[in-house]
Amino acid sequence: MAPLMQISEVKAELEKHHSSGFGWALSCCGRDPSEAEEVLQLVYLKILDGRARYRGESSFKTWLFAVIRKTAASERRKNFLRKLLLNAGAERMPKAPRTEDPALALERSETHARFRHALAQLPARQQQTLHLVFYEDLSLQETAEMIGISVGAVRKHYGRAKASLRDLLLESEGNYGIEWRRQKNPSVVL
Amino acid sequence: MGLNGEDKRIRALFCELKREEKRTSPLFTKTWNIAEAEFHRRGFSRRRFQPSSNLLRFATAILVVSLVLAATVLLPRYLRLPRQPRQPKHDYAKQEVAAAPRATSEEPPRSGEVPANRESGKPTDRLVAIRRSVRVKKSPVASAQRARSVKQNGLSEWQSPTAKLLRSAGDELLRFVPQMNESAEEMKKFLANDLN
Repeated sequence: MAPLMQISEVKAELEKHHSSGFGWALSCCGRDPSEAEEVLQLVYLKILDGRARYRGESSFKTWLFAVIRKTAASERRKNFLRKLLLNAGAERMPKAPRTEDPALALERSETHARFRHALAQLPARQQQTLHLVFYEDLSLQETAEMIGISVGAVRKHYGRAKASLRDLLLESEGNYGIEWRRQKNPSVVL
Repeated sequence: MGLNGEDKRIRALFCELKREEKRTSPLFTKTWNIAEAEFHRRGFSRRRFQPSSNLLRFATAILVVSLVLAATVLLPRYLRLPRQPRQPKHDYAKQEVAAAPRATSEEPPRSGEVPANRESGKPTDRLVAIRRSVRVKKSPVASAQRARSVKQNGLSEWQSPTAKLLRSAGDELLRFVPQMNESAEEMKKFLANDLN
């Protein structure tokens, strides 16, 4: 077993993987940036107080992603229970509406919005599999290690996710085409 | 992994997503500082309560273990063994100790063999007998036999608590029914015997 890293070393490693960690946290939190940021803060807190320790059994990235996934899952559970048991809507501070840069919003293409929408419709495991394979450029083996399931299961999720995404995109593209043609010529019957 | 057209398209979409999310991702220093501040805030309170929580966990663990042990040891005994009638304690030990030397003494001495210490043999015999009795006591067959004999003795000797109240001096006379063809002599004889 490798000796435990010093906090300065851990911090340097975390800084290196911060943006990819945030992307992974987004994927684990249903693309909610505020929730993802909160999860990332909790992960750093866990590392600081020693609840999460890197022991060198896998790569630092694999370990960090596993911690993020578990923290996100526990946060989701807590939120769900809070909503279920308490009348959270009344007690919690209302969330500030997400401020989005208008220029950025304009920049966001129609295809991209459709892709985001289609991705959000997939089950969590399929989303995570696609994220790790296409976003993080990981192999199926590494993906399996990070999610904590077998390679066979990952392969299944990967295949199903791609098929579902294709169907969803085709569907939305078709709708978009019809909408677009309607806008161009309102009298057309389709 | 070989990429076909569909994979390439998905990868391109993800690349775009990645670029956008990188732009919106919070700064590392900001996130780290918030976590660190939270750690310092929580750290003191946690340290303050750590020993008590550890103690509580330890006490709970001990309690659970002792409960489990008690349940595994006492419960089968309580459930399986029926309650036995009260018997004097000396019965078995005495019987077995008495029976054991008899068994040893019944063995004929081998020809040519002279017992080494006939006079001083008694204590050793007793010791052997006690050992045997202990062994017999420990064996499950013997214990079962003992339980059975206790049951039988108990049943045959059992008397109701009010049986004494039903006894009287002329109890025996009342049980005897005189016959018509019996001679008075015999009757007298019997009565004289019985009254004496």
